[in-house]
Amino acid sequence: MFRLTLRNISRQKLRYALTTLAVVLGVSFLSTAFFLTDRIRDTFDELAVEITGDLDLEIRASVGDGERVNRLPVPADLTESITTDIPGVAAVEPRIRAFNVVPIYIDDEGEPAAVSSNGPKLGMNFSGDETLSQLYIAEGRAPDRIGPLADPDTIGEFVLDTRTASTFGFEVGETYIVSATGGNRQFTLVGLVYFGSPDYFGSPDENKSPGAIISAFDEATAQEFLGREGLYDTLAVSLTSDADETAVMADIQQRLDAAMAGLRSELQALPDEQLEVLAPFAEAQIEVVTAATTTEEDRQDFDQIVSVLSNVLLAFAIIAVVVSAFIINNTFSIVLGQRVRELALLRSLGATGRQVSRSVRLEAVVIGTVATVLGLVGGYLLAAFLRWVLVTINFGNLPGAIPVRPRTIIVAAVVGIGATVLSSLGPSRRVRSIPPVAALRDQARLTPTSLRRRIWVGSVVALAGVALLALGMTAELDTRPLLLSLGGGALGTFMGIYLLSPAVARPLANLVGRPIERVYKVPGRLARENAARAPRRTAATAAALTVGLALVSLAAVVSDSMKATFVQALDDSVESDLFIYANAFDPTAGFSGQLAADLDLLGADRPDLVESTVRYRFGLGGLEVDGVGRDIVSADLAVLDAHMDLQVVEGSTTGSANAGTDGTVLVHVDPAEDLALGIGSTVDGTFPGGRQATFTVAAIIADSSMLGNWVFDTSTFDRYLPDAPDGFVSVVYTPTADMKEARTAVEKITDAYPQLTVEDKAELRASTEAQLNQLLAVITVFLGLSLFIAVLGITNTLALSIFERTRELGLLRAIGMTRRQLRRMVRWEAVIIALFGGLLGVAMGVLFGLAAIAAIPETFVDIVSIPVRRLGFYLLVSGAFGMVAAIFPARRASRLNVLDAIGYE
Amino acid sequence: MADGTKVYGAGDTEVRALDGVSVGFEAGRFTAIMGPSGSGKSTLMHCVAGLDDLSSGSVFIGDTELGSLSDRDLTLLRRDKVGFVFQSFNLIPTLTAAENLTLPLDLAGRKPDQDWMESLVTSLGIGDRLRHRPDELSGGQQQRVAIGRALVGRPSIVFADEPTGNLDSTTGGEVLDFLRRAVDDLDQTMVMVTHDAGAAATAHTVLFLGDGKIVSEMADPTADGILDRVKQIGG
Repeated sequence: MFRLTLRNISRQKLRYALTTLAVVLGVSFLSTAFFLTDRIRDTFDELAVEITGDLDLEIRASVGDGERVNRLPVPADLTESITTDIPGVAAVEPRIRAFNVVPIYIDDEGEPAAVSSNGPKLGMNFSGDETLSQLYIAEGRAPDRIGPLADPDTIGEFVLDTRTASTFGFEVGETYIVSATGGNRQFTLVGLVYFGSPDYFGSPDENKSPGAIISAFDEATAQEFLGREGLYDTLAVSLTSDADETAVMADIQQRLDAAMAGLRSELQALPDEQLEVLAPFAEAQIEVVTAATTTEEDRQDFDQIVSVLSNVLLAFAIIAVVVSAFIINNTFSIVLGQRVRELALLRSLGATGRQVSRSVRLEAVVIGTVATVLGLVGGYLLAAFLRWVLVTINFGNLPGAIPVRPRTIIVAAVVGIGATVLSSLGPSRRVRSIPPVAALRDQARLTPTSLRRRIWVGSVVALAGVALLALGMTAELDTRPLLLSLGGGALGTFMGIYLLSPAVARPLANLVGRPIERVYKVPGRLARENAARAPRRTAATAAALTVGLALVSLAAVVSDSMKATFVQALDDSVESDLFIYANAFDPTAGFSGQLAADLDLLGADRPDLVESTVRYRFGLGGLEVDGVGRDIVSADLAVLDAHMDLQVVEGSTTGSANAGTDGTVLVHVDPAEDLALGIGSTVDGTFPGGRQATFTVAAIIADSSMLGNWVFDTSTFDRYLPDAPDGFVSVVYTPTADMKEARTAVEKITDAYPQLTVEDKAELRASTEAQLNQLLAVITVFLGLSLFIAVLGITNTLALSIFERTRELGLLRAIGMTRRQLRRMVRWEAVIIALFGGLLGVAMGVLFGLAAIAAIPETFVDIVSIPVRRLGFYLLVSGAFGMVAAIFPARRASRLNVLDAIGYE
Repeated sequence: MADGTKVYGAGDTEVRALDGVSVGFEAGRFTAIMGPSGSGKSTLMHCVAGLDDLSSGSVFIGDTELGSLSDRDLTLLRRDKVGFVFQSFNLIPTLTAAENLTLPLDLAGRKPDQDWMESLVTSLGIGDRLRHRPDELSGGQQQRVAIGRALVGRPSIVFADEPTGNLDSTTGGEVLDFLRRAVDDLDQTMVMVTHDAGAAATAHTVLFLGDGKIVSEMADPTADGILDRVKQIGG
């Protein structure tokens, strides 16, 4: 039997080639997802090790769970006793690591421009410590201390990582402006550095940083420039080879605790200047941890990012596999249907039904295996290609071999072979019932499962799916059951509609085909009839396209609604004339408060142009209230009303704080309800470092789209989160001001910060829409991959149908159908099938879109907007896909030799 | 057809299906072509009907020389000037009887002549079956629709390839009757390939083919006469 199976496959190469291709593509996408995310994960794992470097212990401020963003620095005074004098300590390197440090260069047009990267823009101190430094000189020399930055004439020195320098054309010896959260400052570039472990000293041939922009300064300059005066972010400690790690850790911890106790006891006695620096640390804890701990923490942080990426890629790959499974199943059904006589001959020669059925399954195993192998190879190549793309578009660096894990191979094999074999189960079971006498009959057919039963089962499944969807949309569920009910509902609805679709295939194909018939007369009519005559096949062929279009439409509906919601929020809440921001989609991207200060000066200077400026600062998880870290924002509450309408439900944004509290807060209605807050209630919260504070609720707001749920005054941030940079700034012109003149005046100031975007309301709306469109485009491209497989499916079915209909085509040609008419007939049949799939897909996509909108928090999507024109365009595209799918089968059909075709048995 | 030769294969495997055949089919006459399997009768019909091309020689339908025509022109010629009736599978399964009937005209984008249609339908006796699809028709009804289709465009010539091969003798007889009447009453030129002497006897003239050559011809044949002649030739 096995030899016969192989013969069958090798004899019907074309049919199987197309089937195999579908599986190959599915497995390729799946394995690419694994290959690529494995590579990315490895890179970040390596990076986690590199970031830690060769330290053995790290000294740092303690934070609660999930607050790592808000880790406080360590006062230098408290670590004076941590030196190499401690037995077992070989070296100590104080480290400064600040974000949002942006070197500015002059671009080709002579304009100042900011370096851009998807990685962080870091500012560091260059210690030059032989064992602990992570930076080593590739070119030039280390930065030296020139003088205090307090002297405005001081031009300090800095070094830059090699990739940033080469990408943007920085040259050693030149002077550049570096923009940090403390302001802009000139520095001379004295050297280029690699980021990596000191192991690379002496063989500096690799920059291990995957995408960060690293500027480094001498320690004193770094402290001044990066807002760390008298502070370090961490201290790295390396131990002597004979040291007892636990003992040294205990020793260090004891010294730290003593220093902290000292600080607390004499805090009030400190001179004002020192008090200002040290006050935030009164409640802080300073700890010492091992390298293993920090590496593991970094790894987990990165893992979260990589997991998101990996899940997204996997989701796309699974879609591709599902689509392929439809195609394989359909192909098996058709091919076996065409081979009924041959299989019956086997039966009449004495093969049992079971043997015939087994041979069919064996075919599936062989195809699945071949396709898996090819798919793995294809996936590896695709991953290598994608990595090349990522590196080329400067997304990041992913050095090293692409890892081939046994897991990848096993999953690919299970999915590839599994999907193929599963798809063949139905057809192989039906094959069993072929009677031997069918070999002698002219019109032998496989008996398909009854349509009535199918409709029955389909209805039940679809109704269950819709019910689950409805439940998810209306009932108040927690995230997990919500996603489960929506996901399960979507799957159920889809399977139900798939089972039901043959029942509507005939009327729908007729409906779609009617206009085509009007234009193309006989070929059009035949195309319509052909599409409608095998509803099961039409439905199965279209299913692959349906899946793809449902997903694309879903994305379109959701993103359009998001856009509508955003525009609405913008229209409703934004009153200011100008926005200045670093990166609208990265809440940690910030810039210097100097900009807002300069704009305030402008306002004071030219009250005829600028009325007021508000700076917004973000503290992600910056305040713990009721045991939960809340994302908080600060603004200048005194003038906020002129800039934003936060839809105050109750109270006033300028309401005053109760006596004894530390300021006012505006709270969104949702958390206010959860925590039973009203006007005048107090909120107790804990800031990073353990500082407690109490706030008075001044207003309940209904709009959280712009500033989130918790809005504080700028003074609160100055006191408790002084390091939080400005996230964006808004400007309101004086009512009588000439808009153009006012904007020119503002831009004269913002020109010094080329990393920032300056936009008025209309521009902000347009650029946000553009960003959302871009996101949608990326998603659509990924989903488009599954459409590509769907096109293959239509081609495959059509080719097989034509093969089946050879005699009919010959007859048509004999009685006078031209080749062109024949091609037209095949082409429009494909278009009708594709449009059928498209219609179902778009309808389902809209349904799923509504479900998804119900599931997404209102902050993101509140308004339902269905992009009718875009969906119509998708339909057109699906019709075009049908046309593309028909190219090959139509040509084949038109080239049939008339005589051979008529005589064809 | 003038000096028509059709060669399949080359060298040792060369088969001369037609070997210098010259033949004309008179307008308004019913000609039957007979011969044993492999005698070239089907090839002759295919070449004359423009379904196949000759290795050498030429074929004319009216004044048109087929060898010089492109595939498109050949197709149009078949559509407008030639009618076909095959042994089986004559109808497109997705179209109704009426739609099958007018298919050549529809393909050409021409309107059928209503009177002509009606008289055809009446004489074929398929008036009540027009809305049915082929799988709802009997074999004889299917063949009658096929004949109607062959005649509907008033072609110069109709070719019938074993039109009764798949029918029982009664139904076959009706079909043959109708073919003959089409020639007598409608002045239609008809060429029929068959190996059934009874069927051939319906024709005005019978041509006998053997080994790619016309070996004999018989006018106003009877079934017995044909059988005798077949015995003489074939031995």
